[in-house]
Amino acid sequence: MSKKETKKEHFLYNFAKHKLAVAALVILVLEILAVIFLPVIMGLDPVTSDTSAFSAPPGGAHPLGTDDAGRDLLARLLTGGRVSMLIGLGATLVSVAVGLPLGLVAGYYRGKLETLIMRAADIFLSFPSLVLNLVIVAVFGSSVELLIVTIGVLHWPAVAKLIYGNVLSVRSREFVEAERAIGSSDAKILFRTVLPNSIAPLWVSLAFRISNAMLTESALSFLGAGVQPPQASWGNIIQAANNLNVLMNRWWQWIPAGLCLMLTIVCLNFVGEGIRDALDPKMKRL
Amino acid sequence: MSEVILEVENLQVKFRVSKRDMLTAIQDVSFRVHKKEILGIVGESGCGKSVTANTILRLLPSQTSQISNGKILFHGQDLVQLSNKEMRQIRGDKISMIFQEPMTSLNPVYRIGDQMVEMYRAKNKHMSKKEAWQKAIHMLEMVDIPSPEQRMKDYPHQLSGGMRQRVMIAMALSARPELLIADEPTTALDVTIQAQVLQLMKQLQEEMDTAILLITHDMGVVAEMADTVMVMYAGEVVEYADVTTIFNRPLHPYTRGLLASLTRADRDMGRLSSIEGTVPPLSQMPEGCRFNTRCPDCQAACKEKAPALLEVEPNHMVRCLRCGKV
Amino acid sequence: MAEPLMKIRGLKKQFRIGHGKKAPVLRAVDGIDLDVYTGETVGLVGESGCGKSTFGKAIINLNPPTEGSVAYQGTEIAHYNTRQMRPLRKELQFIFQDPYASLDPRRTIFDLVKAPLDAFRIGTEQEREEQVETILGFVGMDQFQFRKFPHELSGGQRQRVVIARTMVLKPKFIVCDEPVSALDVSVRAQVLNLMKDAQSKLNVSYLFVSHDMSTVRYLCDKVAVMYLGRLVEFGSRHDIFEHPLHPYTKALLSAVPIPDVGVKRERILLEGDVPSPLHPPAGCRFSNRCPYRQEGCSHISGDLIQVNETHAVSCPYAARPEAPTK
Repeated sequence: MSKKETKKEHFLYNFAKHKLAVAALVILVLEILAVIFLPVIMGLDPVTSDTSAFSAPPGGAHPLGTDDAGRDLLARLLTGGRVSMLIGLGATLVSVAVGLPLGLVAGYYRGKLETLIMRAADIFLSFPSLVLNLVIVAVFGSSVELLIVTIGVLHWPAVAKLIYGNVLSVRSREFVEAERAIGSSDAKILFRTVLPNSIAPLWVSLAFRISNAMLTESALSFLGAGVQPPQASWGNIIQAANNLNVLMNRWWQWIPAGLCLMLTIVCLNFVGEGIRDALDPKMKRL
Repeated sequence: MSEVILEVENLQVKFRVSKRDMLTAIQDVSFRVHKKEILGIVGESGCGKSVTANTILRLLPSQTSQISNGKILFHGQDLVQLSNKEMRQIRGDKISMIFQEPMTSLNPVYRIGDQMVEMYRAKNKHMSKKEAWQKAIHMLEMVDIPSPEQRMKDYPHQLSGGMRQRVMIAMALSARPELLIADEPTTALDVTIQAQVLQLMKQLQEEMDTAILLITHDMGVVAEMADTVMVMYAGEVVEYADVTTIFNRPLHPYTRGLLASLTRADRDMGRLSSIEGTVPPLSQMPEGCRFNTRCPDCQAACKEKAPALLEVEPNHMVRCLRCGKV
Repeated sequence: MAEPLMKIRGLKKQFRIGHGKKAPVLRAVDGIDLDVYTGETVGLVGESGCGKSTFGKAIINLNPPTEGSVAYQGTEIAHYNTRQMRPLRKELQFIFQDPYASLDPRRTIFDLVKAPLDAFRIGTEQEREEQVETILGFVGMDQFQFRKFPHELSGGQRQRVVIARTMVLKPKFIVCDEPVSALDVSVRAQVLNLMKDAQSKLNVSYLFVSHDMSTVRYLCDKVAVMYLGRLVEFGSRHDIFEHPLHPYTKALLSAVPIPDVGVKRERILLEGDVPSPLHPPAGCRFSNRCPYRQEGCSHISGDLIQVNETHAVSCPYAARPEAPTK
């Protein structure tokens, strides 16, 4: 019966009113379950070539056909989705892990630390991150872990700036000063008062951040600098379309992955919108 | 007494709180304003005094509020029935209004002079720019603003709070309205400035024969300015009489409590008595008398029957089941 | 006589407006001496912008002073940094004007009141909870409200929570910055009485910062009147309210509306507004508005002159027995 629970209920209630967001969430959950469990259940193998069927159209042993190396495309679609989502989620966690504390510290302590962190963020933002990604991959080679870290690190300024802006406005509010006046320590003020009051917009942006990271991964893979075959990702499956013949005649090699990527991004955006509307205090009044 | 210019009868306003639910913000509000009269409406925040004032000028947004009952007769003409266009002609011309924070009613990106000129020219299409400028200077002089030519070229933020309120008064009175609605006009001002502005209002009111509806929470301001006083509580009028009666022979327990809880600058006093509790929110109004949760003399009947506003003695109206019998 | 609990000498607080060497300096507080003894309430009155809130924050280092000395129980604390101040925060507290803005909206009442105990690790968890329950009971909150959030309470209840929060540490000195001016009249009395009760229970001293002469008269033992960053008069409540000497104090008192009808009072109307603290007049800062100003006014020091044991005034003409009484 605690008030916190009713607050949560309130959020869920408002979120549930957003029909599109709920539908999107259901689709996302189904997708995640599918990419995790289906390959195991169906015993699919995304790597081994079927030497009897190169670029085979859908049907028979290969429901979605095979690619030009004879690998099963359903298996690749599912395991590729697993990799793409993992990268989206992982990279977002990395950028939050880096950006959140930096934004918090910059906003709360101000002064030199603030200048240092925020100028660094500006420098990061002013680099074309795709190019930087390409360079890093060229130097260090490519792996899923490396992609998570580079995409995540390159996106920290967006998170840091979001948090920074909110902390700035929260720290000047009177209850923060009141907290100082009753003798709370800086750490306590920072984590118990400033952080909870500045984090709401981050929840909202999380879904958008994930979709953003997934798009970056596909762009990199499409350019050949992302996930390296034989490992699959939606990005490198679509890379097959980098060829007029495939594009025109072998639709099964790229359309399913493209659709899945699009569907996921759209769903993430709807969920993000749903969260934003449910958190919006104006909604609460009605 | 002189001619009645405004007569409000059984006014009820409802607020929309969700798609289905409406809450009653004020109900059964009736009063009269005579020519040259200063009627003070007092009460605490949420008692409905500002809602009443805004309703007279029909300033409440129609999406979220609704005049669900009653009449607002201005010289016999019911303002509730008027179209928006007809209402615009009354606003600022026959009835004007000044607000608590003048900064919010002045446009920050235009100079004072330009705003005043624009207002005159909007009202009177034939007035030339020059004429309007001269008239504005004249009005600023009238509200005792020093070097008005200079001030005309200032932006609102360059003026002090007291000066801004004077500008607002100048703008509100420039059409010589018959009724001025002043919603907490001095609440945001310092006491020494408040004294200046109150004196100015009183002086202009006498010169122009304007009636004033003075909304305030400050009993001192009411005692000083008003001829008649209407005390509101939780959306209803609880006591309505001339100012001497209200201060010297208050009958409603809320009025009595309010007066007893005032601190005073003119004498030392023992422990203040206070009204217990707080005003209930609109959604949780008690059955019967709305004051029964806080009333020191609450009886069983008070929790069952909602009292009507009754004239317990000539020109002294009280909404209390028990006062009618005193 | 005993040593004062708080002994403030020559306190100054300056702000630079904008950046760079040439940016103008705003002298918000410009040399104030004040003593506060254990268990007493000193009122600090003045109009908006006179620097009274800045002074209140400066003496307990919430906004460190630029210059001057603050001795708390004989220890100089004006130069203390945040770390050195921390242990003293238990004894030196601050109550903000707006109880809504000064409570973290995301924490429950119980949590908020417990936070100071957590900050200083006082007692065991269970003892802390008991203490919180006791103090919340003392300020008149019901059990069922403990788990509520600030926005679910009324203004008066929130200010009770704020008071509980500062009192739970049993402080020795509290700066109260307009603690009741955001509250409705009927609730104001409740909170003022609560502050009195808390004082007699804990023997705490208050510096009561306010613009409202009537609440100052109700609550304070001594009164300091501030104008443009300096004190113009200091004395016992009796001195200030019954025998005010400084023309500003007199004007301030005469401007307060009194809730009585038909009492005609001599009112001293001041001309113009408070000048900008960026460009205060030379000599006596009140000289440009003073109804009794004379030649010498722009050359006086503005330091307080002791008139008798309890009463001091900055105006040399008012301090002398043949003071002008025109």
